[in-house]
Amino acid sequence: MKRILVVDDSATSRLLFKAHMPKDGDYAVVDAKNLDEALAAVAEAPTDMVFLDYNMPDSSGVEIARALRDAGADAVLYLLTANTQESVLSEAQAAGIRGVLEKPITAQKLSKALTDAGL
Amino acid sequence: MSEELLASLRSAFFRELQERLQRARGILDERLSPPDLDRLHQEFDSLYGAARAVNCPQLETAFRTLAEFARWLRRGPPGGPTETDLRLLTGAVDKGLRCEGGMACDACALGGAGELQAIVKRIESERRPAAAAKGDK
Repeated sequence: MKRILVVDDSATSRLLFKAHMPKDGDYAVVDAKNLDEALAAVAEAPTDMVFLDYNMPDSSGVEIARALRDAGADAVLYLLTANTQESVLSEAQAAGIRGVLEKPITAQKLSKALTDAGL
Repeated sequence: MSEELLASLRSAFFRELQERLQRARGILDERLSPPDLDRLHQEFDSLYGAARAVNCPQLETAFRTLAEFARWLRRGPPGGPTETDLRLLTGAVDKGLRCEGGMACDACALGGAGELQAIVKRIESERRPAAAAKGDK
């Protein structure tokens, strides 16, 4: 079973993300609403992929990506954002984020991201 | 999207709406000069995304405008936010807190010609042109 972590401060968005996960895949989805919960989640069990909302209070998705890498997490990292400005994409790439899932999330976009990540 | 899922999402959105608007009201009540517009922008921006997720276009538009307004106030204008700006923000938050949740947006009192929309239109017509003139969005 592949373990997927979604990090988003919005409970509504986390629920929507889970609802759009492929039903026919072998996935376990866990969620976190901030940096501390994200670090705890990846420490709890090996995690295959992490989706990080970009715009969050306290720590942005890119900052959390850096913290996860510093903590030794080797999951595939994707950014969730409606902001696809070049500066954001460059910042994400520099932090080791492999791809961007543009909001609003749909089942099709999510499925493609999972496939592209080899999951 | 199934009706069951939409109902779950709207229920989650309603809780989030109340939590974030209560926090926004707290920020405005702090009476800081200027208020913490970063945090205010964050609350409105998150509600914009959440409203879009639950397919509530009236609130999506309203919170997008409020987020842009808070961001513009954070970056300018000269002299900082006026009393009118803060009254508009406080009024919008108070109207938003009246959301009763659980109903389709087109039946919601906040939608259409609702009082929140009236405040948002006032921001767009009286304040946002100034932001656009500065090249801000």
